[in-house]
Amino acid sequence: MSHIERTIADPKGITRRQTIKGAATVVVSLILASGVGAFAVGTYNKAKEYVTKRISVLYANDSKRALRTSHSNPEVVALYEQFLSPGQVLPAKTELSHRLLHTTYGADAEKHAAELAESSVLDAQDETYLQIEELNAAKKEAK
Amino acid sequence: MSEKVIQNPVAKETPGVDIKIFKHHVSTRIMHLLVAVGFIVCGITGILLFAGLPIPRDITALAHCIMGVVFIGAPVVYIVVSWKSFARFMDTCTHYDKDDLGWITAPMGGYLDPYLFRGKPEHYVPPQDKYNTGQKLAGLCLILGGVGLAITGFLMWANTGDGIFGLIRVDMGPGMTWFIWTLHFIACVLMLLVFAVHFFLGAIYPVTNVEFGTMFGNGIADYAYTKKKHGKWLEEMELVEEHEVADDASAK
Repeated sequence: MSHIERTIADPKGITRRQTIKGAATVVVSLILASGVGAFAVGTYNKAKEYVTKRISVLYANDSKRALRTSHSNPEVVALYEQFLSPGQVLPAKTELSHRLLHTTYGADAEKHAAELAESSVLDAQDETYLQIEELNAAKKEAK
Repeated sequence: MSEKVIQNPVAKETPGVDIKIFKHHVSTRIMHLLVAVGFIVCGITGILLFAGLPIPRDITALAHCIMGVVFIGAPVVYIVVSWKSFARFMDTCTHYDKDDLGWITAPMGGYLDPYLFRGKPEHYVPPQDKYNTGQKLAGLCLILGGVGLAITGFLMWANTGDGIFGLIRVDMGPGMTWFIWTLHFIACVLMLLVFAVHFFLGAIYPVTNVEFGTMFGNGIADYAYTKKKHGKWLEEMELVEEHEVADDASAK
């Protein structure tokens, strides 16, 4: 005994309507992709153009200034010599300048705030003065 | 569900003839598998990133992007390789007639009958094409959502850090980033909803989970199921091959 095994499937060819709908889907997708992409890239280019102009303006303004760097600014130098590191100019090296001028952002901010809460500005000042005295003594010994 | 009387001679039940319905071509099944894997990995990694859980974000984000490429790339290759199948699918998904209205008012192909009209006679469900109305609407949602995810995902990837492996870099600014991010989120929610229903009906629901074996197996659909659920499609089918088989060989 035997039987017939028959396999059936979708028609092999496609109709004009199917071709048009398939092509329309692809074309619309490409238009959408390129449209949104072009919009985003256009926004990027505008932002880039603005940033470039802003940079050139800042540089132009800066180049016209008599004082262009903080270490050549007599007021900043005086701040260090008279208060942050008495008799010296030691940026970023004393506890007082660290405490008053430095900060942190993001996830480290809370840790930094906790450190500040542990001691006062006066403690930092005492520590800085001690540091300066030690520095001066070392200089004298060296001479 | 109401069965259609099949007129197509090659699809008509005939004594002594075992009809095999070749529903999904191998390219369709491979594409579907890649899309499924891509979507599931993207879905999981996307939810993990969105929830802000303590995970290695860089690796998770990279996996999300790469599987996104698989998710989008597979259908793109499929369109090129199996253009006819894609065109046929798009035609089916975008063609609606009174039978589709009947499917919706059934209600929802009769799937909601046991819940909304318990104890009452089942509604008449008009014969359906290769894909029923719900599948066609889901197909449209997946295409719209897929295109949306592709565009927004590409821009989001290019907008972060070094961009796409340092090759493409876009800086969209906060406003545009928010807009693109929101579109990506909306497309994700749409896709997840469609996926949940698609997965439930295709793999879990006892009446329809035979479809799972067809898509992830050899592509051959059950005749009785197809006649019951997709009678309209049977009318359009053509003969691929026919041969005589000894009953003993068939039993093996």
